[in-house]
Amino acid sequence: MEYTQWPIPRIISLLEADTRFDLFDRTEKSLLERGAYGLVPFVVSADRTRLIWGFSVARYARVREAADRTGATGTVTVPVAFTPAGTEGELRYALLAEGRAGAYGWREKAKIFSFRADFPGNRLPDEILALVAPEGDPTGVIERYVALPEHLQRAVNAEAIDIRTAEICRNLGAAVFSSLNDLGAPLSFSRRKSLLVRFAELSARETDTAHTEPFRRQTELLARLLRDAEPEALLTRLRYPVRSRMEEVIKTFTRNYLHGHGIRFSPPAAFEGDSYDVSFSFRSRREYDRRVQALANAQEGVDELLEILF
Amino acid sequence: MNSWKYYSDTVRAIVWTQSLANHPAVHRARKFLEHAEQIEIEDPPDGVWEPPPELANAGTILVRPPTSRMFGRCPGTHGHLCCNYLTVDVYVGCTIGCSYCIMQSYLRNRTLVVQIDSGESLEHIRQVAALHPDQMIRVGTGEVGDSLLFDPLFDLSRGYIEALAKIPNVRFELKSKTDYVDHLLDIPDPGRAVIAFSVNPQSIVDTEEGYAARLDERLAAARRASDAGYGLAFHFDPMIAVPGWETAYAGVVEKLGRFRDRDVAWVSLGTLRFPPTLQPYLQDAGYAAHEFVRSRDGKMRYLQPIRSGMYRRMRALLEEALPRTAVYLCMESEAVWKNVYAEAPVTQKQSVRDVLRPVHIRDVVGVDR
Repeated sequence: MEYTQWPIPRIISLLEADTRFDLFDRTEKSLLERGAYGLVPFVVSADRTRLIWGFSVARYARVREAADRTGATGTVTVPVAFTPAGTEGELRYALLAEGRAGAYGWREKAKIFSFRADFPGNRLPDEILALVAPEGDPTGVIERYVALPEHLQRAVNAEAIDIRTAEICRNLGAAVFSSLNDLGAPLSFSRRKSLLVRFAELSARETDTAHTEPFRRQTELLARLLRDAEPEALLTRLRYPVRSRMEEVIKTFTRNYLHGHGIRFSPPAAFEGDSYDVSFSFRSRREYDRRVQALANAQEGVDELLEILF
Repeated sequence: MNSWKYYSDTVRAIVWTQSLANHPAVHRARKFLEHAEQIEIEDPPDGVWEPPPELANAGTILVRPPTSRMFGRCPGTHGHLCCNYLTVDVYVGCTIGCSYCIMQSYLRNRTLVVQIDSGESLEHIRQVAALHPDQMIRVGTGEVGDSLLFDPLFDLSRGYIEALAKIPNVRFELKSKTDYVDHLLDIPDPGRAVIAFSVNPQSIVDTEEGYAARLDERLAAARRASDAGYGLAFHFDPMIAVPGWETAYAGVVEKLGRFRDRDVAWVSLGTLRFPPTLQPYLQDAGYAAHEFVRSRDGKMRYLQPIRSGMYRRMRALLEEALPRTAVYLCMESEAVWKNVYAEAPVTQKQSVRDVLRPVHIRDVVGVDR
């Protein structure tokens, strides 16, 4: 690699030129804040017309210089490295300069992978892949990210949600998604995911049922959730109405007839089957009588229990 | 649904093993697939052919001898009653592309396989029939592929139909979502062969059943098959609880009611079920947002009261439309059977009992599967 010294304004002028290689979101901030840009070689294309690496450093330099007119504008020089000609060499040098193999964000990876079109078989060379994702070829998952609408890409990039959840939320309006994401912000990642997925599934089903304009229905559902003191519980009831009703019947029966009587009671697993299990143990005649009496009292709730299974 | 257009659109290569080079089915298919790449390969020592990457897709049809026994039984599913369907795996794989099909998850990039044996599977069927002379033997090719999708190309069903026509207790069933029956209509005596159609309301066909024939096309094909002497069967499988399903499915039953019930050998009902691995492939389907539970066999099914309600409604409609036809549930639990029929499977009417009576094949093939 050939090195030379360029004045900063010349580097800055490249910011307005070709930005195809403006790939990285997280070039080390502390490095910039220490004014260390002068120590880091910029990487410029072989024909010296394009910046390949150092966009954020150059932007920082521009800000610094605007703020510090007493500085050595136009006189400080920085080392510049020139890549070999061609995309492969340029990309390799950009990735080597950045040096974050395995730690790139979604947006960064999507940009890097957009270079695939320049290579045979529409595939990044293995040497480049190793500089991006040494753990394995992420092409498939990057394609899924790129296929997402922009607001979901932002959420995935910010690690608010995972790709799979984003895909499930694809049919939610951007504003609805944003409100829901805010609603779920205090929750753990898995509970937030569950909230979003349930809402998206409910919305898909409800829209299908009512044949209404989807975003209007989504907005109505969202408003209902936001008004409720327990939005997660409400969402579960709305998403799984039959199962929620069955569970409610079981809960009510247990509370009304069996609670505190030492009787174990369980419906068939996943409500698949036609029988309930009841069991108890006793150590005295008195205990036995008490449990049997409780079961006798429970008779009036039995019909409903049997009905809900079919 | 035009079969030749379908083949020219979807089949890009036909590959056959040397041992089958002179088989009439291969000659016939090659003649009709002039547009496709045609490749003869040596018979692999272990029978398994690994296609090169450019052929490892569903645009390739591989014709080869079977690598294992072609005749067996539908594996059924743990904790659910089986309809005792015996199977001959002639066509393996399908390119119709139904959204709910398990092949979406694990057969997507596989070649289609056509298996041609030297008559062993026919002999197995004959032996099972002879060992159970008082029992109806239902056997068909629709377990791991569509029975008729590629049959106009290879004409392999003809041999089975003709060979089994004189055996009174065998009902050979071809199960399809196509209307490709015309190549079979010139068989003078199809015996007790049954041509079966999977049916769904047209709205579901439109959105979920890929290249399948329209409902009316399937029913028109059923009419032609019936006129040519075939028995008929219809499979409501999978029934999908879309909004307004009651009306939509009632419309299909009403159409089935235009057939004579004595011509319809059986109707099966099965609600949507799928392995959890298929779930990611279903995410765009509105029906995937229904209420499912994981059943005892690990598959996702509608909650029991939802399934039971669908079956009860369909049973009532079908008993009115086709009073003498056996209607049975596919892969359902005994509890649901009892609820839907208000009696246990063993006390059903004779035609349903015939379907449910186990057929043992151990004496013929050494195992009962």
